[in-house]
Amino acid sequence: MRLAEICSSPVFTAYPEQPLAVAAREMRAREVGALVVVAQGVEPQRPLGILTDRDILRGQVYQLADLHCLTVREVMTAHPLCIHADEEITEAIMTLASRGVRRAPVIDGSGALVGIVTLDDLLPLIAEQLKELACTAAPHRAATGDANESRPPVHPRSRDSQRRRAGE
Amino acid sequence: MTVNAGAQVSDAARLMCEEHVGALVVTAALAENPVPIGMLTDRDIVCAQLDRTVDFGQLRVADVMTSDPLVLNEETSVEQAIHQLRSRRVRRAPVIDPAGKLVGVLSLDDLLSHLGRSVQALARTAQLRSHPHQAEWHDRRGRVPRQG
Repeated sequence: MRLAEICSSPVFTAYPEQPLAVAAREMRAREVGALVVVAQGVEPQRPLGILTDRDILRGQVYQLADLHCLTVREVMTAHPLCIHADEEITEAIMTLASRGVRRAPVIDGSGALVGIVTLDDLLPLIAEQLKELACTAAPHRAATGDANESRPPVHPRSRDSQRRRAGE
Repeated sequence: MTVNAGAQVSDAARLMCEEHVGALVVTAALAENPVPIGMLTDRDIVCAQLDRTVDFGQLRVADVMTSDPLVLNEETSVEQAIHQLRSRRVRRAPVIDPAGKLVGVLSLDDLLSHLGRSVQALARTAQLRSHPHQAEWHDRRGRVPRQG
């Protein structure tokens, strides 16, 4: 599965000259943990930076400044890691891991912003794949859906599995 | 990582930045046996400033923390912990021992790592059973630890 199919879009954005308090209000209103920073009025939009709650706090602490006295440019993380929309999910996870970041703007072949992807978006996909794998490996468990519910008679192969668990 | 409820928010923010953490457990002023009474996140601090006209330097942790946090017991199972975090819609919770003493914080990231290690162990075991020679080769290269 490609990133283009799962990334969040449209993306909530801020621009560098924007007052930080305005951007922070936008984050709160949209209930998001990050905004992608793009140049104001320029199309197509290209990621210039990313702004998180952590960036805001760090900016305030190190610049000893009030939230209402700062602009987005002064605290954003510039030159963010961007991931190509054609990347496969596992590739994208490795890319995020290599930079140690939880989220990244997603861009198309021309560098235009098309979405944002976060670890929280990727986890359910991996969980779903693991669930599919589990259902394939142990279909009788998948059929009951709950380990505490009554199960069908133990299949010879399952007995073998149980022996392996208990004995080997 | 803890902060006292009476501490200044600016000091808590500095601590969070220096320690690279997004949240602190807020404790009551009982130094010898800290009791969790709240959680303070970077989001709490940012939002508090949007709502108030008070200077950042004058805010106290107790003014902006999230009170009445979910508190987990260290004997809580992984399944129960996930269930409780989900039902309270929080990403982390302080953990106490049976005597009520704060012993740590459990986050969704910790649980993901824990489950990831289990999945990795399953995969390693399956590989050892299916391709023992390949697994042994990996072992010699130091990529897969020997099992028992």
